[in-house]
Amino acid sequence: MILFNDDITRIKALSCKKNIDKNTKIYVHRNHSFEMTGNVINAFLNFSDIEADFIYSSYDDSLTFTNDMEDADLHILWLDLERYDKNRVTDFVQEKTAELRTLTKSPVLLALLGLKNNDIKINTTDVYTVSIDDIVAPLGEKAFDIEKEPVSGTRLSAKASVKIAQYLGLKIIPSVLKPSLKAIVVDLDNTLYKGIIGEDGIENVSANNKLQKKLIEFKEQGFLLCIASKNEEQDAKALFEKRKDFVLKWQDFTSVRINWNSKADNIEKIAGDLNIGVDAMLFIDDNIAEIESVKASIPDIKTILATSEDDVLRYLNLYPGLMKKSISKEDALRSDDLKANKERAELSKKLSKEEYFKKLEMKIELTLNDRENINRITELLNKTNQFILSYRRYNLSQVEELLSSKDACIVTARMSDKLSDSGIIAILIARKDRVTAVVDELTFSCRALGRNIEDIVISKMLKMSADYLKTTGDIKIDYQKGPRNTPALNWLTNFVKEELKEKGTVSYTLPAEIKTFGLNIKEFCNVI
Amino acid sequence: MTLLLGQDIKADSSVSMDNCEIWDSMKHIEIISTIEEEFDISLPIEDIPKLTSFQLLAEAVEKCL
Repeated sequence: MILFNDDITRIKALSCKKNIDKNTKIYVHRNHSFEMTGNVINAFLNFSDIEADFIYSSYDDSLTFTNDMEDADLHILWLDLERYDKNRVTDFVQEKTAELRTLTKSPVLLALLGLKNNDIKINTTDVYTVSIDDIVAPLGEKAFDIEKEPVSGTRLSAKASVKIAQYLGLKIIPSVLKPSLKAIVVDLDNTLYKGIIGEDGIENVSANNKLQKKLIEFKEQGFLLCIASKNEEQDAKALFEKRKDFVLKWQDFTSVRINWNSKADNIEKIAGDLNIGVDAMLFIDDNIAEIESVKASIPDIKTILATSEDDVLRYLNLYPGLMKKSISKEDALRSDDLKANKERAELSKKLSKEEYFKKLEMKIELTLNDRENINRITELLNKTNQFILSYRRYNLSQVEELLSSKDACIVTARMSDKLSDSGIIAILIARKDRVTAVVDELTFSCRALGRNIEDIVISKMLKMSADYLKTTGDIKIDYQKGPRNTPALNWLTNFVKEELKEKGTVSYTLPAEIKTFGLNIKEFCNVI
Repeated sequence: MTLLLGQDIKADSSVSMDNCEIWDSMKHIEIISTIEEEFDISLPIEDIPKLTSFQLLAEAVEKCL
């Protein structure tokens, strides 16, 4: 974890360099030089298995975009704002960002130096802003090297460029390019607090409240907090009840596994509770043996060894995948919804479909082209890994395009019942191919599976899209086998009663009437 | 030097701006800055453009230490 150190140097960073095939193209539009940062940033990007190839624009204060940049995975606007007229700079950056947005569908990162006196708010989709001044602030005056500026092409110092590479390379760029983490699993003893409750007693451990506060922040941003600990559960529960000074409360945790089983086993169970992949989990523990044994059983998990509270905070501040791109209302719902799932599972065992829907007061809302939730739709299309048919991974501008097209549409399904509001649970993307409707993508939230609603809801969504697109005959559904979408493919096989191949298209005949078993379904259409 | 110039370059005492394509003026600043950081020295700004080979760099560093 040298890469996370405060006193990282160019040589130390470069010694951590791995050999990864170049897989990402980053276009840098600049008015001062990026090379000093660009030459070391791959060492940090490698931590997230990214190796970037940088394409540089010429130095250009006027930012003339050329048309050779279509296939870049990310665009960085690397600008020193002091080179512009103070009164005009905000408008200029906003105009240029909007212009770039029309030229590319890839995400755009504004890395701005001299931002402190200018408040730039960009509301364009899939655009992120980073203040370079904030990143280099800890260096004080060492952040700048005016003497070398004529040769280096930037007023930033070499030291500053390493700091910037660390922040952009560890935290920002991977968070923009890759799916976010979903859950943080923590150990108790000597991690959330100093001391061991089994030995020192509940009253004598001391809270790591800086860390606990940080975890609360993550929770508020939609990350799920969980506990995997070797302890007696009643002791842990008593600890959270008695220690009023603890910032974290027992209810803040979505899934708790406190017992004497192996941690790997408990983490797998938590992943099951939350219906998420283990690769979307970060595990924090103070015991290196536990970390190693978890990694040995679950190679895809991310881990932090809690050597001290300050170390953990430092890692968390820079850790990839912990930057929420936008906080949606839905993320806040998620934690409650998962807790309600246990209760639902028990009811579904006992009752018939009709009784179950009625008892839970289950409501479904289907919306055609739900523009209001465009951010959430894009997020779900990108983070769903298990119930997804073709992994098309649309970005925001592509989603926007679909929502405004007459020959394509997006149908979303929201679900709520008396236990909780699950928010958007399903997304269907369809387009018109002459007279036929083709489903390019379908995702369904794993949290909502197993409530006997998928066939009903998806049939209704298919019907809605076919009606809107005015298509006739069978509906074509595209699919592709991916690393983890077996649940989706199993469902599809059963739905169309057809064997599936590696990838392909199946046909589905809409029934004359869709049986709803008394499920309360409302439909909303937003016509362009 | 190998870390800075990449593994394809044999970074021995004979390497210089003339025989190493990747060592351009931008790379030069990176090399100078890294040396200054690693040895905790400050090379005189007017000398910097002249230090165009491994040999010359080594001599300049020795002078400062």
